[in-house]
Amino acid sequence: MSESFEAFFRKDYIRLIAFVVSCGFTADEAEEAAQEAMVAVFRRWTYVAEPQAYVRLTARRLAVQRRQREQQGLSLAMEATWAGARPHAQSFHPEPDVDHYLAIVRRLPERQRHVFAWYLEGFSHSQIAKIEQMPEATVRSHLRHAKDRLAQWFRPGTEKGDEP
Amino acid sequence: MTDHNALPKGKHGPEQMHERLVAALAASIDTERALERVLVQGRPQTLDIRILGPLRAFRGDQELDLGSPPQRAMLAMLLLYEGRVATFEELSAAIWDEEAPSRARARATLHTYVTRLRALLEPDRSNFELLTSGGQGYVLRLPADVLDLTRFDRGIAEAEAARKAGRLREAAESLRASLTLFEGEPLTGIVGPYAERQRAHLAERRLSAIETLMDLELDLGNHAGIVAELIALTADHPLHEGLCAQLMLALYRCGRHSDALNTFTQMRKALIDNLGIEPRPELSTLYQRILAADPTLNSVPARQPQGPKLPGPAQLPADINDFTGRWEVAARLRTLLSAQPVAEGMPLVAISGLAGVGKTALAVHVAHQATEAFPDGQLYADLRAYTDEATRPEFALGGFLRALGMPPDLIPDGLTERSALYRSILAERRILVLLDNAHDADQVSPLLPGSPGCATIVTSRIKLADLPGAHLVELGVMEPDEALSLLSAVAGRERVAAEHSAATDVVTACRFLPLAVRLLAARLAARPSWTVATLAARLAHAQRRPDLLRVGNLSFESPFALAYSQLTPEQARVFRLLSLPNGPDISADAAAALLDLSVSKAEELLESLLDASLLEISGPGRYRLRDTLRPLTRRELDKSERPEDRAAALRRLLGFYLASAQAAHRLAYENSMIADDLVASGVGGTFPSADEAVTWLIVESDLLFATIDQAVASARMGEQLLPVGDLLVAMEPLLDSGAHTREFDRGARAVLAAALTLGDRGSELRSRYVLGRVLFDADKPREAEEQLRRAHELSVEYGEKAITGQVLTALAVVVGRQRRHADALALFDAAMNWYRENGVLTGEALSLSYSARDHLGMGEIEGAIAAAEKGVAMFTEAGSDGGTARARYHLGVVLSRTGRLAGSVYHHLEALAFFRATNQHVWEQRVCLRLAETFITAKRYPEAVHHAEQALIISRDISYPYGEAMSLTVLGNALRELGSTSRSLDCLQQAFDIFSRLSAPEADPLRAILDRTHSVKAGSSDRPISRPE
Repeated sequence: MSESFEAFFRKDYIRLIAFVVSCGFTADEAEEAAQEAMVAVFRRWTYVAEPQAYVRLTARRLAVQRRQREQQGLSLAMEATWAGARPHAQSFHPEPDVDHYLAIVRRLPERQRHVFAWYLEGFSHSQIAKIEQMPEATVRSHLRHAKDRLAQWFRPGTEKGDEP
Repeated sequence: MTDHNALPKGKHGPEQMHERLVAALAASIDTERALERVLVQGRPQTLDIRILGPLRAFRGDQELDLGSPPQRAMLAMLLLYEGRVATFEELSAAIWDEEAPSRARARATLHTYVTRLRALLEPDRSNFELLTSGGQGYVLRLPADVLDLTRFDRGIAEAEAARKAGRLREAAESLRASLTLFEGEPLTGIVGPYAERQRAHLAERRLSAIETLMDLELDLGNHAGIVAELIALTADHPLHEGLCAQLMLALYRCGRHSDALNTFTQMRKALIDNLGIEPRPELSTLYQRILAADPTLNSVPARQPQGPKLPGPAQLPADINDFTGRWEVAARLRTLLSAQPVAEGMPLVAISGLAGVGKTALAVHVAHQATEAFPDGQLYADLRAYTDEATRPEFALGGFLRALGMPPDLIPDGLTERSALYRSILAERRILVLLDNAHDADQVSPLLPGSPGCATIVTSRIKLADLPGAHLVELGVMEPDEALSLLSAVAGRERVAAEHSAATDVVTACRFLPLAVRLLAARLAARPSWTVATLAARLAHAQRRPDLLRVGNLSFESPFALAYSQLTPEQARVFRLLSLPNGPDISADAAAALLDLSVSKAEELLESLLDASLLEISGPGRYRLRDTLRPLTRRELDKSERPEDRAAALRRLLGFYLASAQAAHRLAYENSMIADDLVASGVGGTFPSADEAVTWLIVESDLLFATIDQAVASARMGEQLLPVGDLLVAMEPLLDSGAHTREFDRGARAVLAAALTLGDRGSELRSRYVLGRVLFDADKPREAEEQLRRAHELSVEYGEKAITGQVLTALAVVVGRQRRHADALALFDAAMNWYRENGVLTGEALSLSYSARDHLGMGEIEGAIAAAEKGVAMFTEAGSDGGTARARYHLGVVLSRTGRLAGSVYHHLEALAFFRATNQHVWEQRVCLRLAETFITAKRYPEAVHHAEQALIISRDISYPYGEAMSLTVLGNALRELGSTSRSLDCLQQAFDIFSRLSAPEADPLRAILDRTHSVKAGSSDRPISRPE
């Protein structure tokens, strides 16, 4: 591995959080998951072949797991364990139209949302297919649907987001 | 269709919104603080396991509880297996020793331990990656640096690299740091026979690292700093001669001469009391040098601080410290040698003159004075023109190439090839070559470096007028005043000055020949009661003696006769018998066998002859008869020793060499059985390690072959020949090292001819076996097969059992190489059966490893892999690390060829780690190259580049041009795939240049590719260059 972990972290940390946010999580959740995923990739640094994909997949999985636990009412216990490692994203206040955009994205079905998040990060169809373990045709169709829906919601007059 | 599903453009499209999200996040999140937290959280989890002391494990700062003693023993074994599978049986045996529970119980218990260990090693995981089941057992694969033993190995390798690059301080620091990893005795508290063996093995490695460290400290001039440490070490290891020598030297350099001498005395006493043996000759020699306050002991070798080069060869014989006279000619020679390199070629000086006129002494003296001008080293070869066996130029070249750091198995066979390689190595170096006692220009020419930076001195009795470009110097007798000052220098200035006229008579009677003057001067020095006049009178008397030796037209016969007549009967016998063996020189212990004396007695007598100027020192603990005196000594031998005594002396010498070679064979092939089957007929040397055993064979090779020739020539009965055949076979490790194939060829043919004459089937079998192997190495498989078949028939017909397994294995390899794979497999089966019946596990394992190739040839992929894997397993079972590593190499090749790239990489890496740790550079280079090729196949080009570069560095380190060119080719191919077209072309061009220089056929495909690329322009889509087999 030619790149150092630190260089990778500096380059990719913010984008990783943005990715998790695009997958439908809050900035807080995203940062916590991103940090944990970075720890995981750091420990495996010498043998992780594609760290960008690995760290994103891990962060998303962690965010999903965490939300499941919270929904199961375990949030208090988790809170205690992670007390010292609480992320510091409270000051995150995006501009209103970004907030609005995120609200729209969160309304996409999960699979489409995930595929679209990879797409936004510049991953190619074939890469996404490999990561998400689905045929390329499915990737293309998810993307087309996602774009269709977003285009509809973004159309003037439906800006407040009607269900299609 | 309207564009209704187009996404909004401009600042409201999702891509833009996403980028704005990223910008907003970047503004509110402190990446550096997050990085810090991640680094802290990620790091403390690292494992740290220690076995170089009590077995302990840490995660971060926290020590882990490793559980019950059997559980700890299991962990220890898994750790020491370093990523290999430990089978259930092995684990049970290691943990419970004798009183193992039933098989089923044992497995269940082992499983319990594994579960607990997994929880300790990988607490956060549900799927365990480190400690896994591996077929018939368990395997623990730790990341690099977790185990202190791995860290130790790495430190040792780094130190070795630094030492080679001349960074001694760094090497010493790295060794010290590595040694601190030992916390008391390794594996403390772990029970069982396996741990016991490993404990001894680790302790041995620690000691060897300490010895290297002490050597470095001595070289760095830090003798004062290590005396205390060495005293403590020698107290712990009272019989360790290496440490003792280091302590003696350190004390001596601190000016504590008597302490240094006492150290030797105590050591000697301890050796005699405990083991009943004398110290090694090196130690005794050191003792004597300290006793004589030898100033060269003080010199710390000067080294260039940053020079990345290996130390060059320093083969010159010692300069005579009372060299006298020859002022004018010496000055002229110095000027000739120091001439700036000029266009017309290198300085070449040919000194000719009568026997005893002092050509060698002058050449050696001048060469020593010129060493500074030749920083890359000095080569010396005695071409032995005036003995029974003049040195053949290809043999001299073999010696030079080895001295230049060329691994023996990479030295080519023919004279032309050797000469080409020699010149290509010398092309960029400044080396002085001294060719002593040359016969004619034909013998000398192949030994001349071609490059202007080098220089050569040749000595010969006849003038080498046909040597192109040579400055011819004819050396006459000395001037009278030169001869007188030589007499003064050796016999004492005052005595000579007091009797000037008698002294003049003496040197005149010597006809001003330096050797004659020296012989008489040494007599005079040994007889304080004599006056110079006494000497002159005795000399006159000697000249009148009718029985005076008349050998040719030699002018020093009377001085010789006088010197000889002054020897005690004991000395005279030693002196005579030394002319019996044909080898160039002899070691003290071999001489002891020849003379039938104890080593210490023999040494004492040899030293006394050295004082009398009748012998020369040719190396540490090695003595040489002066060539000039050999005919005279032979005459005395024929006159005074009965033929049966001479024959007995030669038999004793042969017996010594045979017994030593057997010991070497046993070590080199890990308890080979051959050695036991051979008839031992003497007491031989013993060796502490396989490496030293092989080194001994290399050092003594000339003598061994000379002894074989001589013994063959004098054998009259089969019983006399058989030990010679045995010796040939016992020298097998030397044959395997690739050195001396021509000598083996000649020796084996000589033994074979004699065996046929005498009807000795045992020797016939042995010589045919060796000859078959030689022929195979020379790429003559058909002839090799014929010899081996004959050998096999002999063993079947006459029930000669000694080397049946070896013959069968060799035959199978030879047949397989001719693509008769089915026949080869049948022969391998026969070999394995034989080994199995005779309980030779390693032999069976080797046959298995080799047979994989023929399984592949038959298209049996699974069979090939199974055979190679089983070979690895059996070597492992036999406890042979070297065998395991070589078998892994074979397995890696098979896996790579059958497309199992991951497995291939794994086994190659394992083998690589072993060859690195044991400094087997040729193997290391080979494995790196295979790895690079495998990675290219796997399209993982960065790794391919990495390993090809490693292979390249090693090839350059060991001066292995062929390997360098191979590495450059593979590197070029990998770089091209990565798109570095210009670097790739650069590598291929360099490879092409080297191959062309070596006249290797590999140059042709490269030329084609380079030509095409140059004409099409860089970056075109060539096919990758395939590696020629």
